[in-house]
Amino acid sequence: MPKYMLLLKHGKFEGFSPEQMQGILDKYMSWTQKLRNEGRYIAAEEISRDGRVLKKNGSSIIDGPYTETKEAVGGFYLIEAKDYDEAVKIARGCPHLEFQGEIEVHETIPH
Amino acid sequence: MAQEPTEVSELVAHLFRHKSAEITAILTRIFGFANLDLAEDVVQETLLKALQQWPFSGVPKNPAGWIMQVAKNQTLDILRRQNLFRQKEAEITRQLEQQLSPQQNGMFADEQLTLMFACCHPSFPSEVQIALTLKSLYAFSVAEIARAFVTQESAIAQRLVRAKRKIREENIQFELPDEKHLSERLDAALRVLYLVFNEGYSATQGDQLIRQDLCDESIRLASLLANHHAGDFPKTHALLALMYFQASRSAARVDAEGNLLLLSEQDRALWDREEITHGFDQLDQASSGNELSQYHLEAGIASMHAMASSYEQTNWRGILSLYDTLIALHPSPITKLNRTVALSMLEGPAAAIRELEPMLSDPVISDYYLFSATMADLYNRMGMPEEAEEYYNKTLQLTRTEPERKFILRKLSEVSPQRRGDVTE
Repeated sequence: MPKYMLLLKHGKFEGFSPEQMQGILDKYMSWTQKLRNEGRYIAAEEISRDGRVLKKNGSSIIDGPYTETKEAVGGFYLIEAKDYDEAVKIARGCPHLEFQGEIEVHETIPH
Repeated sequence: MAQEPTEVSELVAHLFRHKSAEITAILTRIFGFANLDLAEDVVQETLLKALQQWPFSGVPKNPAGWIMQVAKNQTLDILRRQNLFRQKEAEITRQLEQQLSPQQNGMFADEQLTLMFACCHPSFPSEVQIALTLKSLYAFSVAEIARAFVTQESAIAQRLVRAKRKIREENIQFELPDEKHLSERLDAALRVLYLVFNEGYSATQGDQLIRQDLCDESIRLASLLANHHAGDFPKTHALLALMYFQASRSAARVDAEGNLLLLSEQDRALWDREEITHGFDQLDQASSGNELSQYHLEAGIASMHAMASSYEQTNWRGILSLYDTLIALHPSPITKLNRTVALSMLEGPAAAIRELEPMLSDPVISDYYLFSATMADLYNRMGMPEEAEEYYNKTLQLTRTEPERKFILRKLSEVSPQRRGDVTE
């Protein structure tokens, strides 16, 4: 089965009470548990909000900080799905979207 | 290749809320009551980290321990960032390592109760005591507090800001009251728990009649008090007994559609027997000594309902007697109203109406929806449906929640068909 990377970008969780945050977490855990139960889950990692970016500038390579913008990434999941439609359908169920987060879905290309 | 499904750790219900209360209490012990903001920031950042990490890493094996550990690191982080307490850094780090360690699985009752006494300090008016307690110990957000007490969020936020300023200006300490003042300071704490529990038990706003979390947390905190030397007084056990008896009826008070059911209409098989048992245990502990508080009497009345297999077989004489004592101690229109309901079961509806009619002139009473509803019910029991309908219509104007409104509409429809049947022309 093809693999898809779901890139979860910066969700907003301000102004929630501890109880509400636990409720939100429960939603994420249910969604990931479903991935496991369906045998789709391959891997997941949180990604740090900062980072480094490298670019060639003329004859030299410069690298500088990756500054946090609203594009900042939260983490990724690597899952199995039969095609993009199925991968997107799975991503739709992710609670991340309820909290102003964005999800990029990319098929990985096997070689 | 996809992984096999694995066991994912389950999160204990309300873990975040309870850890929030504990961490807040621990940090105000270490840094002082004036640094409540610091404690709140630590809690928020710690739980946020869990929310950002656990979806990807999974819930750790020891989530409570993880939270404590991260709270410790967050605290040190914030201290360094804000350049606070630099000279005491070594000592503070030592205290934090000891208190916020993953191995610690106590409830920090001492810290939480000291925090409660501090939040209920006599320098604060009642509504501030409630707001501070709800924020720090119930771990409610400002929005949730506002919703629970029908106030604007901005008003609650302001209230808390002013309270924190007062803490600094008056140097209110994080400490248990001394022997001499303990009883009266305890009264304030019990009053806050009682008011919050009542709000949860019969929410005066919104579509849910029962705010379970307000009741559960009130019981949790009252239990902590009852089991601690600073709170182990008969009146504390009496309040806890009352809470257990009231809570025991939760499942029966509302039907499947969320409609309100009176005591006379509830399926008593749905009353929680375990909570009733706890209630009697606490009532027992409340009867040591010779202190008789308002809570003793209210718990006594609640216990008589808990003991009765049906509304008709309730010990109304015993309840009437307790109401008499309660009114002598703590006269309130609502208590007098409830007493007449007991009276009506002993001497009939006419006697109760005679008692209630003079109270009509009191605006507090005549504006209270349960008063009109009670009058309506009494007239209905006397076979006077026209008067009953009049009172139910009046009651409709006074209800404040959807369940209350639907309840009165139901009563109206029960009264009206009778009338239509009487029309012979």
